[in-house]
Amino acid sequence: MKVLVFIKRTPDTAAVVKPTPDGKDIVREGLAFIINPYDEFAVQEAVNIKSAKGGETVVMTVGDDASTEQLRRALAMGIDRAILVKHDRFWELNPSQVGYAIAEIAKKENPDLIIMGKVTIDDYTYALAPYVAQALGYNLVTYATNVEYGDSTMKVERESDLGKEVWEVPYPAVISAERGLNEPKIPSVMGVMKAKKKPLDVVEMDLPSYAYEIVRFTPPPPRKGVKLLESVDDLIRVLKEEVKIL
Amino acid sequence: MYDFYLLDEELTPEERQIRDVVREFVRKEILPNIGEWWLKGEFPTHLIRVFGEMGLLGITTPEEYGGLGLSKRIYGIVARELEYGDSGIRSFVSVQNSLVMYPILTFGSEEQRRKYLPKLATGELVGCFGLTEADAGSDPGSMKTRARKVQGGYVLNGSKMWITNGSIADIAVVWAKDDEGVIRGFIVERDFKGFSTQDIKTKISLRASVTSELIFEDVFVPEENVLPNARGLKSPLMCLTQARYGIAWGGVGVGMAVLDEAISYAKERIVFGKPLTHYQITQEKFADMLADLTKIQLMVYRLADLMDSGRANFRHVSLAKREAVRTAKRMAEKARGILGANGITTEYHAMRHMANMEAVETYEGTYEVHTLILGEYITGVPAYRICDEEICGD
Repeated sequence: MKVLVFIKRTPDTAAVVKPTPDGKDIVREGLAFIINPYDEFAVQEAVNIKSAKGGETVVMTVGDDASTEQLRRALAMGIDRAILVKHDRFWELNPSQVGYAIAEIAKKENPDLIIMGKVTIDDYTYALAPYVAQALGYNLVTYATNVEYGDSTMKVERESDLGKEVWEVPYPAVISAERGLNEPKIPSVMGVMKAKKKPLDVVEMDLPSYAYEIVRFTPPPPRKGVKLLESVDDLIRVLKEEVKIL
Repeated sequence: MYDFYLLDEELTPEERQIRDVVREFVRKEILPNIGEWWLKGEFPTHLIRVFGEMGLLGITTPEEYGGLGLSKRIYGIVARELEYGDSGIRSFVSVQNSLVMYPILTFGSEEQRRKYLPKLATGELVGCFGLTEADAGSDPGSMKTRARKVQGGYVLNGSKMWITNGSIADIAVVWAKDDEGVIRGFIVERDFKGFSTQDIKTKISLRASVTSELIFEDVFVPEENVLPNARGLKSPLMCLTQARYGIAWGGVGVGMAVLDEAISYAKERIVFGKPLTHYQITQEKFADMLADLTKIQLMVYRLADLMDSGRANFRHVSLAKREAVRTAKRMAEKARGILGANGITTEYHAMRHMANMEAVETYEGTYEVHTLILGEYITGVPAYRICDEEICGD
């Protein structure tokens, strides 16, 4: 089976993100970056599929030169080769532009399966997997928590507020990874050394233009301190007079 | 992680990635559990194979023997990151790499290398290093363990003390004097008749590490288990130079750990209505700690270059081990003070590191022994020897 994984370079979940003075971007200098955590489930899933069923695994991203760090990490986790679709301000791209790039690569690579995270933690659009499936005419299952891979179909579990669903889906397909799909492994030192020798192709691509602009980033308001109250009467008074919800 | 002089920028992208995966491993597997292991006096044996899978055993061992053939600098970075977690964890890895795999590689036969090194690299085999005795620590040349030549091998009698990994080891690299009084190296396997171990349970330092006594009662060691190229005290001391180098980096790891912890605590801790960081006394402590840390960081980085280019000698390593560990101990003590009463618990890391540093300052050449090594280098007078007629004149 051939699996294509899409990942994105995102700020570390523990990083403190601040807007730039003009409010149109975040300060990227000195910020720690990681593979989007949901994409890391996708990488691990591809590695698991290859170790169980053989085949080939390819990881791609749309990103700047620094995004090779994340591609190398995916290679260190066990992916066979990597493709960087070069874009110096990739964080400004819309899901349809990134989705176009993925679809273009997929047309050349012909994967049986495309896996990516259900969402990226920096833009929260949830739109990428549906876009890619639509563009390619592939089947789609979102928020996968467990998959059994058969020869021509796969059984995908997804969890919703209504309970668990199991879908049987023929290849080719796109799945978006939810937490719980697997436990991503920390790469080994050997993995890092092997990754150095694996192919990493850089692709230039004209992406469709899209008429949208980020107007302003605003940080969340700072959390107010805890106020200790003396009695229930005090609580009722605060809820009435200060919070004004009673 | 304080890297004030941006020394890690010297690392190659791969070296940085190796640093990051080890760091991540320590954050995920070690830090959440180490307080409990330390209190219970347990070494996490379930992680031994994981160390192997991660590639932490046999870092500098050539690839043909199952190692990774990487630089001393990377070995140092790994030691630093592991000791950010705990000295006991780093000690395990140091012993396997520097005190077991290094002597087999350096002094062993080709058969011995092929038999032991690949399995030591995966963690399938655990090793220990038996040099110190109860009455022969700083003066290992006065060891009492004897290797009597018999047909087909040697018979070992004696005991070794304070041996890291002793009771969990499958093989022990043991140093003993032969019939001519020459120190020789032996690979003693766990099931050799007459070989037994006993753990030292009353430690209040390095508690998440196995420390044992090795006992040899008429242990027959076949000729094929004698390290053919080891002769004299120089051989085990060469191993110690390798291990001490890793320990120096480990001291830096402790320094980084306690500074990180103390700063994040001081930012949150409110005293007299404002955070602890707002007080000049606290700021002075932090400035001292950052200066101390930066000095030892610069030192180990330079030492790594000297090691990798073959220009370092044991004296360079002595200075680094002496300074890094003493500095780390002093930093841990300051950090513990900043943490106040919380600092005396295992919920926080500073006091565990401080207690660990007491053992680390003593093992692998005490602070005083390294002082004397440097003293001899500077003055030409070997002050640790019993008065030499030529020097003392009597």
